[in-house]
Amino acid sequence: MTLLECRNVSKNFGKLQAVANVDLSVEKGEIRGLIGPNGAGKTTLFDVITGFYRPSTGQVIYQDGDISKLEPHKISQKGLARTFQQTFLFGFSSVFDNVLAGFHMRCRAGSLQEFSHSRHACMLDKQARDEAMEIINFMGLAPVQFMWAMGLTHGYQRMLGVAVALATGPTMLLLDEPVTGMNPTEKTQMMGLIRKIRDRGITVMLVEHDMKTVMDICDKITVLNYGRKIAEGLPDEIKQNKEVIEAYLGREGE
Amino acid sequence: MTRNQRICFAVFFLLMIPVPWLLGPFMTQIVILVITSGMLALAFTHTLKCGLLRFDIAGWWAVGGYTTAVLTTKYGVSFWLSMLIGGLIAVAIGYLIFIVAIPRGMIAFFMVGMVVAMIITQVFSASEYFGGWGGIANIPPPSIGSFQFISKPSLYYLGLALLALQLFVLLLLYNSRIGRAWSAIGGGLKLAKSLGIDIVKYRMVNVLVGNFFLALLGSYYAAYSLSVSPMSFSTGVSINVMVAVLIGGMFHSISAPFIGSAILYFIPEYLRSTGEFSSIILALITIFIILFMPMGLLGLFDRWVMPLIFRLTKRYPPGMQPA
Repeated sequence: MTLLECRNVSKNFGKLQAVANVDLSVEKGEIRGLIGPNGAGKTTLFDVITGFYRPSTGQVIYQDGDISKLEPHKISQKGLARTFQQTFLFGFSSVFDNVLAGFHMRCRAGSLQEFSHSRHACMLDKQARDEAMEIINFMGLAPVQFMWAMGLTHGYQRMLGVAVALATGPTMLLLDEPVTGMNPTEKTQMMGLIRKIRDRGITVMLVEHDMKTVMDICDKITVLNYGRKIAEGLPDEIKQNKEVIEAYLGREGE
Repeated sequence: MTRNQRICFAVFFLLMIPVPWLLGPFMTQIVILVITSGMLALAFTHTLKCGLLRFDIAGWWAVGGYTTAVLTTKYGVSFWLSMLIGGLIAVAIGYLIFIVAIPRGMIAFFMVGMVVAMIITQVFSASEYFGGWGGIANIPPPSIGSFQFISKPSLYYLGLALLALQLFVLLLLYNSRIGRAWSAIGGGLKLAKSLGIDIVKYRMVNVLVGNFFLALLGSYYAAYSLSVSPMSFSTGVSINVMVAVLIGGMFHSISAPFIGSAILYFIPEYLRSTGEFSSIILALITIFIILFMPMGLLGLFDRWVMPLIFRLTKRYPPGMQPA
């Protein structure tokens, strides 16, 4: 079943075409890789999919519903969560509070009940806290759960970003460079977690530059260059695709 | 409300109750000014929580004051009802104006706020209905039954009750899902959006709650000074509010406004002997604090005093145990 679909999506910034006529579809339960040289438009495509930008042409379809023109918070409410390349976190809050923040849209107790701290609201709050703890343990953040987010090491910060996105209870997770800047041990750990996340029923699409990781974990890979899709297929096919190799090597030669 | 907040709330108000009896009429007046100025600054930090800078505080304060003035003098409406109506008017007008400004971001909101306050003051000073530049005088004092709130102590307790109400409501809000949404918005706009938080809706609620309490405060001011005039609602008020918050410390949204206001009002008292130099000295003190204590006085307290308290009581907040 197709979960996410991009139909002829383009994004222009004036004369600069960051994303050009991209067709993409992700099946439920997949781990999809989105790769390409720097500046190929991967993060821009993520921004378009999650509503931070409106597509200049084309549509984004999620679970058979058109989400092209929706605001980011509405898209998150539909179950499409993401992490950011720059690791946005609530720096002055603890790890636990960060994860708890992700539960915001799942605690629908009604404003008046929330204001008066009714029993229903408190019970939902307790459930959220329990589940936040469960996510923290799942991601391996238990040792640092009380630390302020700004004090964490880079690796832990990235894990926390993923944990917060998980807290929203998504059906699909878009990860923007989840292992960038991590040492090999952390990378293996994160890869294992991504597999576990898929096993929980959450579809994953990730942008990454680390080729070994991408080839290792993805079911299917889509390659962008200069905003266009130049290849799509199984990791082994992509590894040998001439255009892909040229795109990367050509860039290095410049 | 957390246990600590409940304790601080109770202790604070217990300490404030005997003030008129302990400090005498003159100091009581100063304390009333500190409380009023503190509540104005509280509206500023309240909106700061969700990442917006308010420059329109004087305007909504004026709306409350003038609503009470007009309704009680021209239509014989009871003070308490005029207070409520003022609050509702401030919310309604605020909604109409900010529905345009808030979606356009922090800077647009700041600019609109600045202009709104000026326009409101202009409207009140230009129109004869509102008494023009002279304003409206002879406002009947609030009364319950046959008791009238004229004496300074009675006005002090009325102000204290208003403060208690505002703090109670704000603390309930800050500890609820709504408050957490505000903190999230203030902590990172993109992140909050990706967590399903409707930025515009929550910011609007925050601003309108602030408007409501500002209008109530305006009504209180009308009751206290028994007259309202455009002079008292100038832009200088908005600037004083920001200075008070800077002095108190931006990160403590509830205590900083009052600490800051206390400094701003008590220091001139002690500087009276210096005559004309008092405002210069106050300005120098303010600049000194902003340059060397950017986290404000409470920030200083956090940095130097709290570690000592933790060490003495052997009770550390989670995650801050010494190695």
